[in-house]
Amino acid sequence: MTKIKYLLLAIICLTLTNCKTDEQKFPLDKRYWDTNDYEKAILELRFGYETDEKKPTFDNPEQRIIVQKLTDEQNFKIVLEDKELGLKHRNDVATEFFNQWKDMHQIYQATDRKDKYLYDMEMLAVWQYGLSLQLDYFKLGNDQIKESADDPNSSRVENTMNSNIRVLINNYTIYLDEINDENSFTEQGQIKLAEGIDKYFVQLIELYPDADYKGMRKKAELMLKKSESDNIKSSLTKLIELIDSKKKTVV
Amino acid sequence: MNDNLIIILIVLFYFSPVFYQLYVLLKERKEENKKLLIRLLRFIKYSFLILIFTSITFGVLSHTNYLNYEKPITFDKYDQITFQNFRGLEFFKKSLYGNEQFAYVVTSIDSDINDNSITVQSLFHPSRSFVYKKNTNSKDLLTHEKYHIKITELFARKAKEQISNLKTFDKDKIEKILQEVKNQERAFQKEYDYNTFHSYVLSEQKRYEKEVDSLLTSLTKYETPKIIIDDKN
Repeated sequence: MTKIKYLLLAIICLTLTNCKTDEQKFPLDKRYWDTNDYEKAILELRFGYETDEKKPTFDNPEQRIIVQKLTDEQNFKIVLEDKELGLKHRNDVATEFFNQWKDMHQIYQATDRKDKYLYDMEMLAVWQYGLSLQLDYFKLGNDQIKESADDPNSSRVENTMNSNIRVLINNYTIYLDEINDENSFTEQGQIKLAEGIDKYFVQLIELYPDADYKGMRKKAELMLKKSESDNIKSSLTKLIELIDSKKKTVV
Repeated sequence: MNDNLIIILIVLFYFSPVFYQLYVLLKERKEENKKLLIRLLRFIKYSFLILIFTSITFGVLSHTNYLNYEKPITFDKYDQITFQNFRGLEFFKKSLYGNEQFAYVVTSIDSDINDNSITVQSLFHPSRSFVYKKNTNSKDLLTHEKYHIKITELFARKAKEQISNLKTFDKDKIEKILQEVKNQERAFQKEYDYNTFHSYVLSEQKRYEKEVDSLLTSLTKYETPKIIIDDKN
């Protein structure tokens, strides 16, 4: 009997020392997360929770900080926009962040039996983090292509850069696909979805005003007809107007 | 309530009969268990003595590595400082924000007040400063740590500037100035680490480097450690 008690004590002590708090699982006191931190955090958030276990959300005061840190744009901006760092280094870091983001995208995709997103606000925050990241990622990629080219003004370089911008615009257009599932969002989710269009699409168009937005415009028009949310409709209307205004300026 | 605390309470509750039996044993002090009890108490006594001795040894060596001691280095030898001078030992901290490649530097403002003169100098303490690997080639890390030394020198010069402006030799005022400057220096060091995030944010690191260098140059007049105060009244 005594032996069993000691064995139990040992097991409990081992369990005690292995218990990890959120603080230990995620580097919450770290000012900026690097790609290693993202790798560990994403792994934990994707596979460290039971199927029915609630993941960190914005409305959970105790765990809000985890999703806030995860979607904090400063984590990548502090490196990618630091002109003291080399272009190649920044581009490499951007690639790592982009790859992490693709995994990060899987964290909050779960839906319930009514096809409603369980974590719509968090899923959209991750989406918008990615939209912002891609602006820096593609810009750095193009800057590096230009810098390493023998003739930065050659048509070959120009074509490669334009092709990259087209990919970026297509990636942005995929965000508009979410409007097809607007009923899967809460009302707040629909507002956040619309805010994403207002904020990041404007940044994209301002950065590349001469790019070809025909595909995006077409998609926006179709979504405008389909959407029942006033917020989303308003954002799409503004987006179409912005694209048209740039077209006129170019002409 | 803290999870760990709950588990400890459960363990204590579960083993309460065992603790009770031990208590009874200690209370009874019968002849047959007295011998055993004396042995147990002696074992506990020696265990504690060994534990205290080991803790003190670890504590002292963590503070200053006397096994590989190098006396504090003054700022005039700044250019000669490399990671080879970082001789401190670190037993407990294995990483800084998950980064195992870290270092820290210990500096101080040393002062000696005499009759009409005062010596103020910044010191770098090699045996209290730590680097994860002495032969690391991380120039960025070394630069960041060495600017901590420059910051200490900057505030030592600021102290000398303020003391030089005193009209009379007043020990209390000098000590007050020194204490204030030391507090400012600690706050600036913290701010430097926070804003550069220990050199991770290179643009901020460069900004601090420029600022500290230019301030040090503007206080070149107070480079020498000793200042003499002649009573002007």
